[in-house]
Amino acid sequence: MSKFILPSCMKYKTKKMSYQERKTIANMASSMIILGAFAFYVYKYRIGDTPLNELALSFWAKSILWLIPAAIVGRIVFAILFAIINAIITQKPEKDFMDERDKLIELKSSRVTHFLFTAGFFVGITLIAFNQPYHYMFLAFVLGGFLSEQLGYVVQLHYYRKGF
Amino acid sequence: MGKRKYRITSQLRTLRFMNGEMTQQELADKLGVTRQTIAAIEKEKYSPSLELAFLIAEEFNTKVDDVFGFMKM
Repeated sequence: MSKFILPSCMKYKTKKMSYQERKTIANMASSMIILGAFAFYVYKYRIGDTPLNELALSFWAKSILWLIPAAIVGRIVFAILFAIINAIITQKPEKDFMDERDKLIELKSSRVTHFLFTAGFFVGITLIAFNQPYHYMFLAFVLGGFLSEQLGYVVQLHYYRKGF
Repeated sequence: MGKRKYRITSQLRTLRFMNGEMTQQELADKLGVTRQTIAAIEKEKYSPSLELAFLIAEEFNTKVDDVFGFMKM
């Protein structure tokens, strides 16, 4: 039977997660929950049975504008919840500050995030240039923003685990 | 990303041991970094900034050369 071998860059030793790693995973989960909940709310209570291509341009713009404060508030709530749950589980308070290594890791991840976000923007504009329905553009913006954020967190986890 | 052609070695673990088994957390608090950063330096997974390297050397009353080494591979 052939053995599946991971490339060396993906070999992570099993070890206890650090505070930063736990925080990154919590951020990933909160981002998914916030966007999921917001998309569910908009789809169920705002869109209803209306076909997507019949929705007004202002509806899409307003939805994205509302997503920004909703995401900020959601993030704050999840950050507080994470701090409480983490303190209960680990039984010790963690100093939540960024040192030079954290800043460098964040810089490396934000480079990836910005690149993918720009790619999402470019895809959205290209869709409009090729006469596709304009809601595709907004969906590309939201999806690009979400995926870029998630990939940024994955990059952070990679550097925290593997080092650089 | 290609493999590195050099390695930054560290004597941090030895120095901590020789200074009354100082814990990673104690050293981190003195230097104003996280414990994970100290652990990463010891495991040679992270090369500290020049500033932090000097601070570490100062903490142990030694030279940067005695704490860190440069090894070509």
